[in-house]
Amino acid sequence: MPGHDAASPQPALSPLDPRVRALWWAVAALVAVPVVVAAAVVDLLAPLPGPAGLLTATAVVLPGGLAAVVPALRYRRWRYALRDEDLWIQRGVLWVTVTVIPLRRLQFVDTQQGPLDRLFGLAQLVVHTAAVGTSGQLPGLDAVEAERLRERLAATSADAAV
Amino acid sequence: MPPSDALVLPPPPARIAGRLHPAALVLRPVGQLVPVVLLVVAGRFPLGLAVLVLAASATAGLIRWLRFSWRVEGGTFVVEHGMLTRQRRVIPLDRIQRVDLSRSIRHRLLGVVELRVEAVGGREAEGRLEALAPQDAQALRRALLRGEVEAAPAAGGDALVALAPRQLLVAGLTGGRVGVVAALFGLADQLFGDVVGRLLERLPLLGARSTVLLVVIGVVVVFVLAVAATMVGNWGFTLTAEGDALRIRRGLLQQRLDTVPLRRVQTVRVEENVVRRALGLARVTVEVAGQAGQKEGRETNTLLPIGSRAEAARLVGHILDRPGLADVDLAPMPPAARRRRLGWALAAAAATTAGAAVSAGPAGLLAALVVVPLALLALAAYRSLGHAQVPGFVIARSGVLLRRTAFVPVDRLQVVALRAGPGQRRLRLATLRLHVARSPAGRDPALVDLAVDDARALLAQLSHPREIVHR
Repeated sequence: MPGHDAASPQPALSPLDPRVRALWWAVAALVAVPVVVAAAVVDLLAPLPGPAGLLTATAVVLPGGLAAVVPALRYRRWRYALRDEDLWIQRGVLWVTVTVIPLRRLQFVDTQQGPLDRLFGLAQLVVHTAAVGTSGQLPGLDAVEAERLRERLAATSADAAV
Repeated sequence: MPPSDALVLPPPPARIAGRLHPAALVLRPVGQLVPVVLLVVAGRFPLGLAVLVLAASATAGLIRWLRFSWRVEGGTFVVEHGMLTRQRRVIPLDRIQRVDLSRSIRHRLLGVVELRVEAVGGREAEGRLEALAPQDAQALRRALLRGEVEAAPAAGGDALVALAPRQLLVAGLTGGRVGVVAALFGLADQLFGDVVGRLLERLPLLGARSTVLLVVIGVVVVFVLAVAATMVGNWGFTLTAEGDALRIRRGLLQQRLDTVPLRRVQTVRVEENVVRRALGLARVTVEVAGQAGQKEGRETNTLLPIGSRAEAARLVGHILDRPGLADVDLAPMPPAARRRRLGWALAAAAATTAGAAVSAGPAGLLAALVVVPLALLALAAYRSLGHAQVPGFVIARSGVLLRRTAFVPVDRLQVVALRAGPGQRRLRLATLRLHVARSPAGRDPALVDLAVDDARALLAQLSHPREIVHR
């Protein structure tokens, strides 16, 4: 362990609600199935040269494989921790990013619920600072928990001066 | 008890109010009416109708002018306007970031000044007064920036930078404004596209030599225009420090007076492109918080268009109130970062060779020689990386063709993020990005390819700065 300040080493990060993994699988399936079906249709009607059904097989392996694997990886990586002074968010499959947002820098906190989120009983939390671009994003939180987090974050007094 | 002969300065006026300068009546309609006048002169437009249009426009302009008023009172800047509906915009003086004065040719002919106010988080200039008498504009600017009543006459503060035309010529010759000129060419193409198209059709008939000549002439023209654009845009560049802000004066056709409040400075950057680095020259820019998206890109943020490395370092130290900050030695990144870049160079060379071999046969293998310049480029890219932490500041440097050194005050950091791709993870490297409040067109400074342990430690440390430098 490098000898850095004991001020704030990386905290233990908790995962998102497991239901969001199911949600992502559902979305991935919704995307992958038409691709496989389309490839199968093309194979039947106008097969490519080479072994029969090669296109369908590729369509099953590639998009199907991605659809099965990516949501699980994404779920494993996406974690967060809300402490007294800051919010830590880790995310990403290939490019892993750990973002630390000091609570005193928060300007806005939003909760969002898409139609699928509502179905699964989930909500998304988005926090904004004065920094441009992506801020903190937490999809797949339990709806009640998301609301609780939002209230807790809104209660912290933000730094007015930039 | 103060001595009886102490200098007592009058309190600043509690309320400043006014209208636009009458020249505003002429300023805007002129642009709108010129086509009408031209059409009349060409005989395409009935005179009676033209007179009606002119009269209507003049009346509308008069009403608009009468309805427009502004005032400074009770710590706010209030602008009221609107012909049919009354619109009032109230800007608390606390939220005002910048107050800029500018004069286009039309303004100068009429002897007026345009004043623009930008506030925190504004998407466009929040307040715009098209025409004011120069003294009124100055007085209003002082009131908006809540500058203390100046004990010394407003002869300007200490001039930090004053550029002569010769230096601007160097700036143009070594700079990268080609992008602007290319955009102009794009615009010309849109307007005169058919002419250009016909020209291009004729090209093959001219033969190879003439085509090459035309291309060369084209390049020279673009280059000359770029140099001219730099010189005209920055003519008479002067940077002065006045109290809590920096003031920039520049411009030949359009004179600009920009103000940069020091407390809004987020990051200071020193930029050196390849040519300038060889000549020992540099450019200094600042990111100011919440600036509206600028049409001119980075122009409004340039504090030193061109200067020696020593001048740039001095300026950085002055702005951030830490002399010698720019002279700090930067530590290199771990050797793994060099391996990473050499790896890219090898991969690129291999891909090029494979492609050449496929298309040109065994002779294509000669393309493998490209590995030499690519490897040199990779080594230069590694050497350009550097970082340092001093109390209160983080310094990050990167870039081969355009070397950028960013000086970030720790108390200006908004969000800090650590990012590592699969290649970086394998080499135990990570990039630390320092998110600051800045204009959307800029980029956040980053420490690229730090050792992952150092990056993690810095991540935790920078999120909770122990020392907050109060400036």
